[in-house]
Amino acid sequence: MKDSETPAHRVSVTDARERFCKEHAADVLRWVIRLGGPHVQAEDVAQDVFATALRRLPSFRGESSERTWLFAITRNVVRNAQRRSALRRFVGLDSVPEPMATTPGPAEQLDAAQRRLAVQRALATLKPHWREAIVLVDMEGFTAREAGAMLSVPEGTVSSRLHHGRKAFAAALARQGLHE
Amino acid sequence: MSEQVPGWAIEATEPSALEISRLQARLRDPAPSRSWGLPAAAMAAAALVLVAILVMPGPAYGPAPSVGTPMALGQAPLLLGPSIRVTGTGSLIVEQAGETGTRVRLAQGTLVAAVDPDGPFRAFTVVADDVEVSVVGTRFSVSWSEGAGAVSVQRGRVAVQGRGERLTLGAGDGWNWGGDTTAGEEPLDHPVPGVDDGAPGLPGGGAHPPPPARAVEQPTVAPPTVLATPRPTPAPNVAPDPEPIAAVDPLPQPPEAEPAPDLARARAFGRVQEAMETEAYSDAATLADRFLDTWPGGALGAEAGALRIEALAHTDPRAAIAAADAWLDTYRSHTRRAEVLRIRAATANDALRDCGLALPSYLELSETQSGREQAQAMAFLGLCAHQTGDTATAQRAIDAALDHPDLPRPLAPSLRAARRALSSEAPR
Repeated sequence: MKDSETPAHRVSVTDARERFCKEHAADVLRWVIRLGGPHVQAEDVAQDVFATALRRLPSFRGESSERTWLFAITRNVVRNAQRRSALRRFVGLDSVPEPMATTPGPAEQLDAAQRRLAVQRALATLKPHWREAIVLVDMEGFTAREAGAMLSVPEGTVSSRLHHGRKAFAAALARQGLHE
Repeated sequence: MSEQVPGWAIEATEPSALEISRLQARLRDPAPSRSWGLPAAAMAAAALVLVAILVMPGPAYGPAPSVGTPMALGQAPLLLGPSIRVTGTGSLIVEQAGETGTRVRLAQGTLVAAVDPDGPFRAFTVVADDVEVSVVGTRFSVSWSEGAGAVSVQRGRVAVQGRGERLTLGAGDGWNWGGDTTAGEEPLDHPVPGVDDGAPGLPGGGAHPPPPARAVEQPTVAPPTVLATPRPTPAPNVAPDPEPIAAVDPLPQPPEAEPAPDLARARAFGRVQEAMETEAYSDAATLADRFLDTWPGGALGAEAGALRIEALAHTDPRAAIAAADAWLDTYRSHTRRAEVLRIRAATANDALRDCGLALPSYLELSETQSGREQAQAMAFLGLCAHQTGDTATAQRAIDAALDHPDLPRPLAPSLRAARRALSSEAPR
């Protein structure tokens, strides 16, 4: 029996996968919510991200951080999901009223959901490159240099995208009647 | 106006603890994971193929092809396993198929391939003459005819090996070899007998527009020439799509060369796709217009027409409806028909707020689709028919939608309300 087939090896692989998923679930879900917009199912897409990442994990060489590597995968999976969603969506589902929340504080929850939807809609109006820069730097807290490495563009390009993106984002929020 | 991202916007897009724990639970036990409810864990290979077909964007991909069987290329996509879809002209022979990859030999003609970058069994090699083009997740074309060949990449990267060259080509790049005669003698526009008639095993056969006249004189192709400088290989572990391909030596700056017609067409189509990928819809519509002016028919013409409709839906909804109607009249059994119907319905209903205009699309979708999409189409058909006063259609469609096992839950209250309204409106 090869080492890779022993019960101990299987347990350690399972542990590593669980650790990986647990450690990054919140990050990936947040990235998908911010990059994906209102029309992708965030949890479904996040699950796809992990499916892809776990498949590629054995070939991950650690030349960038796990988080950076995972963001690049998320970015690609989200783009595919957006395209799929645009083609498959029957527009109109958004306008059908969702069932009322039954968990505690329904009004509060509804407000939070509406706020998220508004932000997602505003982000969705931005050019993809502007959106990615805003999400990485303004929302995720990466530096322009780090974001540049993640997006494979120079730091100055990130700054330029941020400049345009922030203006457009503020205008998009304002168009929805939302201000600071 | 402040240009800073407000704190509440950052907070609003933080996932809740409930959402995170729900995702973690799904990752621990992936069996009932996806919304379409198919089992994901411990799947047999056949089941894996089935899932891949369902999650793919665009036309479905298929099971592994038979090795050694000559296959005709045509307008209808040929499915080479779960992740590879090809169209074109001429014929190919599958030399290898399966988990380790698919390898085909292009006997003659032009092959346009789309490979799902995240799909299973996606390693794909095309051999034409003594040149091998290998790819993992991209869109590209290979032409080979009478001693001249050409490779053109629309999206992603491909590795090319042969004629003493070993190259990586990126999106927008092209490479020719041979050159005593023209590359791609057989234009993509001509229907291929046996494929365009809807040959067994090849979906999407049937009516196609008549082949247009060839628009461009065939120039002589230069000796092995790089038409564009390949892009440098990105840093490892930063851009995993497609998977890394070995770095290559920098190439000399190419001399100016007139691309062969097939190559020019593939590159023009690639530009339309690129504009769509970057959500530059206005540019995409213009590029698609130009493409269709030059190459109005054929497999790529149909694809470009569909992309133009999608682009116009974002920029000029009325033009999108007109373009969709013309496309739907022309391509009556095309694999993208359902997509075009969805875009048309969405544009009429959402952008133009004209339920009546959307009705024919919902009707056809409700008759031709299955599962959740059929249920949705029935629901929207019923709601729109109610709104436009067609009570008989409304009643029938609403009842059918409410009885449908795959009806999305949020639609049920609106349908029940419409049914109550119809009952109260009915003559006593």
